[in-house]
Amino acid sequence: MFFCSSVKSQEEKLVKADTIAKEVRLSEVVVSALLYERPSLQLSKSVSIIDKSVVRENINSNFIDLLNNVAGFTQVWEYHSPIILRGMNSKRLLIMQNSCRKIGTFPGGYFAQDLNVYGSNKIEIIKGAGSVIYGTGAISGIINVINKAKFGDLKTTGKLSTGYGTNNGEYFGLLDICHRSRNLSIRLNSKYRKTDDYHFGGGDIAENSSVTDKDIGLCLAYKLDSSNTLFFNTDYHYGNWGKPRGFNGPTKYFTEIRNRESSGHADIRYSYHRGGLLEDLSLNIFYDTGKRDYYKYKHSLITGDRTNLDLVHYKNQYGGGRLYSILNISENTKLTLGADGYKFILDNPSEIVDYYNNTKGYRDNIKGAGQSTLGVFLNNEYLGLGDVKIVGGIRYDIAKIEEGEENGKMGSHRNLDAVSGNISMVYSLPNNTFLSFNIGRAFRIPTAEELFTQIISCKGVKKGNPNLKPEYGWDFDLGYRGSILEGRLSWDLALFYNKLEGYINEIGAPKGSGVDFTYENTNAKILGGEISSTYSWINIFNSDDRILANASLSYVYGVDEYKGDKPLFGIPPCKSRFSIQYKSKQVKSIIKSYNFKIESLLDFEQNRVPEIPKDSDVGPWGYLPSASHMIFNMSCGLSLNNLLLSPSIKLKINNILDTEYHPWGSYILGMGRNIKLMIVFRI
Amino acid sequence: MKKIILLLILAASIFSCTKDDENEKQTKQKEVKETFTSLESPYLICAGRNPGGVAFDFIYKGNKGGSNNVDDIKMKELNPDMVVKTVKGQKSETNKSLGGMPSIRLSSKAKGLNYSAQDSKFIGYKSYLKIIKISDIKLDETKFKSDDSSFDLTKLKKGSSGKSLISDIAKEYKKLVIGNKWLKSAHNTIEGDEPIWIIKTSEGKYVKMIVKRFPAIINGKATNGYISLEWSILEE
Repeated sequence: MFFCSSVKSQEEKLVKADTIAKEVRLSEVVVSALLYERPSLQLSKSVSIIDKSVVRENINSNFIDLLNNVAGFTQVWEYHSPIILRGMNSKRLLIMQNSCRKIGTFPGGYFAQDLNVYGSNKIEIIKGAGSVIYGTGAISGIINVINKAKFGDLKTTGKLSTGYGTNNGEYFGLLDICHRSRNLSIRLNSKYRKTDDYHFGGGDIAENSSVTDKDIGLCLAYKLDSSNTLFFNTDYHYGNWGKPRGFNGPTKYFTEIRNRESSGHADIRYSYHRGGLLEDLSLNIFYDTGKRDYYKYKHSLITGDRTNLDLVHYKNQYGGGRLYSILNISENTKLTLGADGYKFILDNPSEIVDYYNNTKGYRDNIKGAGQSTLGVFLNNEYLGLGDVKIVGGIRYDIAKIEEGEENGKMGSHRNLDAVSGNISMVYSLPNNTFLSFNIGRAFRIPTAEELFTQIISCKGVKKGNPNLKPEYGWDFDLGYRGSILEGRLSWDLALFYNKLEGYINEIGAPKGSGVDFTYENTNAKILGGEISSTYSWINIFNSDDRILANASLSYVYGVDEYKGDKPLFGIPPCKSRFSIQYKSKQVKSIIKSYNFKIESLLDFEQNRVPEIPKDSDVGPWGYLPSASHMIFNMSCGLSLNNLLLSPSIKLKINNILDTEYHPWGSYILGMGRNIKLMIVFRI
Repeated sequence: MKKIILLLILAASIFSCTKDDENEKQTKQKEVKETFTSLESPYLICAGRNPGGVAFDFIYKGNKGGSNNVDDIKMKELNPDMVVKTVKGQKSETNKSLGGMPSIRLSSKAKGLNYSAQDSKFIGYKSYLKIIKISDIKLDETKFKSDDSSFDLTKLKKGSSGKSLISDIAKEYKKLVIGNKWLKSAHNTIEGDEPIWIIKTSEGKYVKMIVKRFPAIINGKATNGYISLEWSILEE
């Protein structure tokens, strides 16, 4: 939550004392909520911002590792965890890269394992209904991973980082090169990461959990003139990762699952920015292509040898775009008009290998399954009521979901439409504090997999239900946030209530059907809240040091109304995070800066878990109660001046006490103690 | 002197006989002590987790035998009378999903009989428990059958999945005495309709056998891949 460098915007505030510039907490600015900059405190929903410096400070391994410390998010496993916000998985959480939708081929949605966390400048998280601007899937919120262009005086900088983690023999290397001038910004970034199997707390090995990541990305921005800018982003990812044996239940140790994937992304954006009636005009188009080979081996429990392999080749491509304009209708009214859409296509041929009986075969499965949407939206911000700001918007979408072709026969399709809307109010109280209220109606269209397709997953065989209807969420958010004492104390209290109509839930399939799971529409409600706060003490031992304390608490309660108010699947326990950090700058000596941090992560017990669907095996997560557990982490960092390549060293020790614990929902233990060291050289 | 030598020879022969007796005793004791290391019901017959299946040798060296996993034989001279295993089949020409096809196969020297089909008074587990001696039932030797020697799954046409069609496998299973007829249907929860089988082992002994539940109930839950099967040698 702490933002270190100064930002040139109207909301920026620098406090000087004794002629030495001090860092105070600035009012952070976000773009993703309304498509133009607004201070996060003045929005009607809870916002979290993750700066790239935080990623490096935490030596995060991947996206889910990064999000686990953000109030409202929950991690189930290392690396391959579904992303869960407010008890809803990534099918109901829209994840974007430079405002371009990301779509995954996992049953649980997009896992973001193919996003390079070190490749972005900033990650903006807006919690709450976001369908008006972003369309389908933005029920619990949106995450936007942003590559920001930097223009300025001619400069080329580079950063080379290398690191090692003891728990899983992790080795990683990062390269980041930026070149900028007044009109041109180029950034090249790459990452290589390779691990062995990791160790659980207590020392046992999580077999088959090794990971290899290779990422490269290029961001280009060119200013045609003061109003017109072109942006181009492209990146490539290769991954090879396994799921720990036994992650999907104690009786499923005989399965071994690995994924080998590669994906590419490109987006182009044209931006026109000027004052006057037409403040902004933006057009972006994007294209993604990906391939994921899903290896599901089965082993003989008698000999331990591999007996079978189901190898599914997921091949997907999707693309889309958005056109919007921001109009200053009057001094107090800002109107955003826009349209966007996307199309997603999936093939999933598979191979079947029987090692025991020496047979091999294939299945075409489906070709050309997928969905497409087209939506138009209008969002209006009205500032003319003094201390009260009103924002309201409406959106209409049409969608087509296609079954695709199977065995040479064209399948069916469904046409759906959806209306979403939002109305919110932000009341500015004295002393930079704000009270907000938001009502939003968001939606999610069922995917082709949920409607039509039969797939093999780690959970078993899943078959779609062609009668599914769209999900709708009525989201009510109440917020109280502020920043006082010259930014030294800030807080964000967010309470939410989600009424989910047509919530698409998994159910066990009928006996003897040859299928393990299918889907049904149900009704559910999810309520809860998050509170997070930061306080800083300054001038502890000298004029350039401070102590920062961060605390957060999040709680979710979910009810499956279809099953007589039973616990809803996927509701995490109450979580608390606390950290205290000491930071100091010593510009006069060889030590540029140093910091030390201790943090505690407490997950309370969760006994409200759903019953396992009748006559089906356990799923890979979410059906087991979890005991409470507390993990301690520690980190420190040192940046050196006046040395060749200005090195900095970061040390992070996760799970210092090597605690054995079961993360909520998981059948396997969490990672044990991990000592990570990173050295950064600057050019 | 001659008497002493004679005495010594006599003593040596007595000792050697005694040793032989002891050796024979030890050998007999060894034979008596070799107990059958057997699996217990429920048995894992999942095609993925135990592709070789479970072999039953009901009479092992003249004593009660038991079962071993085909891929992990514990008893050196196992001579199976019966094997329970599952193969995968393709559901149809157009539906290329796979399904499991379990079956019970008899060895070439064993024979079997569906006794419940012959005498409807003996059906279900309760009746099974009442059959203790051969004389408790009326066995007609002519009704015992062997598996058809032409049974051969390897010659069946393969679908695109690399597996034979389930319908073809089912047809081939009809050549087996027991095959997949040991239950009315998988997931059958009706109590008391399980057929009782009488098997004549390769040693000429009679064994009763019943499949109690498929999938077997483990920890109160029907568990895929496991079969609950019980057998016992009939007293003469």
